Amino acid sequence: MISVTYVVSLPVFEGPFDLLYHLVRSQEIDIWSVSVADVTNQYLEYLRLMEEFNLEIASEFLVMAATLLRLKSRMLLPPRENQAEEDEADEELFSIYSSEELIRRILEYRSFKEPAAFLEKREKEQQRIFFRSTGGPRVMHVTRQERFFEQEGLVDKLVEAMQEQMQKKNRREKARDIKLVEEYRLRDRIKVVLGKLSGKKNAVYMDSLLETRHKGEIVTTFIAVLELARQRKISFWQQRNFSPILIQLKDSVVEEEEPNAGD
Amino acid sequence: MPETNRETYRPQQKDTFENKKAILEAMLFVWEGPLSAGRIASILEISPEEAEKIIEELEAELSRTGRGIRLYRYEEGIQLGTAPEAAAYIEKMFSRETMGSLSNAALEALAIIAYKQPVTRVEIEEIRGVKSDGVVDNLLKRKLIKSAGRKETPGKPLLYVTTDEFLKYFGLRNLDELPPLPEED
Repeated sequence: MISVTYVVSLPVFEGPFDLLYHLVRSQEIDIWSVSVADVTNQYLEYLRLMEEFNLEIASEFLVMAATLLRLKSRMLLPPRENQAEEDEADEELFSIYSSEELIRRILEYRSFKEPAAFLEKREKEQQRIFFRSTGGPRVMHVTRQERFFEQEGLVDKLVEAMQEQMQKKNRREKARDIKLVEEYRLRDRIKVVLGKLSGKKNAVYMDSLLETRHKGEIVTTFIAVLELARQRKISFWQQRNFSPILIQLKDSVVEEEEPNAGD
Repeated sequence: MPETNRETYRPQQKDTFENKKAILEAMLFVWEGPLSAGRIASILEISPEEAEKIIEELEAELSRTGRGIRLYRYEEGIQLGTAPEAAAYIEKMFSRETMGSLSNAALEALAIIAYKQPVTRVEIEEIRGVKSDGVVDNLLKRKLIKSAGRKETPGKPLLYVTTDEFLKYFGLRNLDELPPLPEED
């Protein structure tokens, strides 16, 4: 038994089959002659350890525990008449009814471990290669509303741009209170942003919109930009990877005088 | 004189092999994404065999030590990319860390899809023994897999296959480059 005088670190398993493979392998006998009873006991012991370590146990691990117990009890009892019906009632459990099936499932799962490791290795190698990005600007138009937040990690980029400005701000003025948010009403900021964008033929830098004096103003401006994007009144552009975000008023909005901003 | 500069590359002037290799290098330099051998052959007005020879030559030349760019081959064609040895500095230049790697769960699901395609989400879950909707959604979003029709079973579940982007992402020319599944008994 494990003594409690030293720290035990539990290996992390991707799922119940991963754990089972580990247990079966550690018996150091022919995998096909593994005893279901032994494996079940070890499996339950491991879950108990996880509990002791306050680790969250994914439901699949518990489902497998139930599956193993059913398998173990069934191997002890003579077959019953209404077994098929009972199995159907247990459809939440894994459909494993013999030790051969159990081993087969463990091995099937296991056979993808190596390919997964191969892919991981290739991924690491490929991430060390960079490709030239010449072509035209990467357009980040908001084409369909529901796609907006998925578009090229757009929101992440916007948030980053805002955070950069905030950090610059922080360096300049250490601890100044954030003014009341009401002071920078969203509706007003939307007007200001539209004002800055309208009448300009070229796109402006996102950063230039955020160059303001107060944190509250930066935040409200940022929300205003998001709101305008949501209303599909502006487009975002990026010339290439990692270059600054450009913002432009959509053609259809240019003539509009007083845009109806949400509150 | 700019006018005479143009003269140098008059097509009727017979290009040497070396010359064409240089032109190919220039083409790949400006082209974004993979360029197919067929396209290269037609632009250079040479046979596909000749094109392949020039590609091989350029590939060998670039992979010799001391060069910062390499020629990479993909299913859809060839492309110039940076040498892996330069990775740390390129990342520094962009002041970025490498883009998010796939999780173990995602790699596991992807391996299953790659070998068993077309495959349904339930089939993936049966092998993994874990719910996989989140993982599959993530792979779809990253365009590493796509749905390709439905299985003719109750519920008509979607079938998933790997994409060209999958090959590109892992630097594979085709699915045959995946190692064989280990047979264990």
